[in-house]
Amino acid sequence: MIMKDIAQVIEDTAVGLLKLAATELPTEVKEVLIKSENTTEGALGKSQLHAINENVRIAESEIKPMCQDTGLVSFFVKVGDKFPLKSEIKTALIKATKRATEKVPLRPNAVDMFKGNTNNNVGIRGYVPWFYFDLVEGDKCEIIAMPKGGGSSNVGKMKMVPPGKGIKGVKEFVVEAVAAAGPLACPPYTVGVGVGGGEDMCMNLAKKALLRPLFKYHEDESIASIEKELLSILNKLEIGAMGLGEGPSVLDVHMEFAARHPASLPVGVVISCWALRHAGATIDKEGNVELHPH
Amino acid sequence: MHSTECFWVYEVEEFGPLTITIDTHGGNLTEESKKNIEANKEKILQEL
Repeated sequence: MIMKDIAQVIEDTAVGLLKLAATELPTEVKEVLIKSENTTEGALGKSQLHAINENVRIAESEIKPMCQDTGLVSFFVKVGDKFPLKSEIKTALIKATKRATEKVPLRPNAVDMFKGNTNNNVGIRGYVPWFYFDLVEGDKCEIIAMPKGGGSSNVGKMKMVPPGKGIKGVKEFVVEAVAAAGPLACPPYTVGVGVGGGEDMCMNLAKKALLRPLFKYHEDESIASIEKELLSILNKLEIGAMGLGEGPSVLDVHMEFAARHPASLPVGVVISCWALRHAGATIDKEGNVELHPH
Repeated sequence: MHSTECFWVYEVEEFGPLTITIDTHGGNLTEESKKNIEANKEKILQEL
């Protein structure tokens, strides 16, 4: 039996994931955008959704990025205890990011404050692509690529809500954050909310919440009901498709909760534009790749 | 100072229909939308 070069498998898989994420929306995102076009009554909103859906269709059939902003790259990685590679996963994913920049192609989006654009989506000081590593049981490695556009990242917000305000304070801040995003970040939005942890953790959780498939609500019923309540409330803002007031403002809201310090109630809001892009795969210890449903 | 993310020069056929969000008569759909969103926000916050 020929042993596979696992590092190479990771690299090749990640190039494929970045390409898939940039060119093809997850099925449930595609479906809800088409449904929105059909149910939007105003001609202005309908025309925006039609343009979005047509764009999505062409991107997928031509295998070209659906937006000129192919995002800042981050990877969510779960490494099993018995998976043969550890730090080499990181090296492979950095190589994959450079290769995907050429191959897909992705727009070079990693800009160094002092030296300018690195032209390969990899920061010269580390950190980009950004990694979320988790250690898990088993012998597999799960990789999710998430390129996120700059426009919608610009409207992300964090607030240390006074804990006395409780869950009402959380809801108020989410409403304020999405209203402030308004027409700026290519709606209809998907909203990720992270509550608790610390000032950094709430933002991480909010971003992670965006990875949960649309319309799959939190397993804790009390959290799921807040997600659904916020979805309904936020649509009353009437932001509409591309911010023109017609059609959905928000496609879905996902929340993740961590324990918090007694004196703190950190709330992070991370907003995705209509192009909610991510793609994942699981690699086993022999190097067999299983793509996640997309 | 404003910076521009990117400029594209297009040669196009059958381009459009287009939605003009800012016209030369002072109309601005984005500003109108922002005002509506702001008013809706105040109402939502009162009802929370």
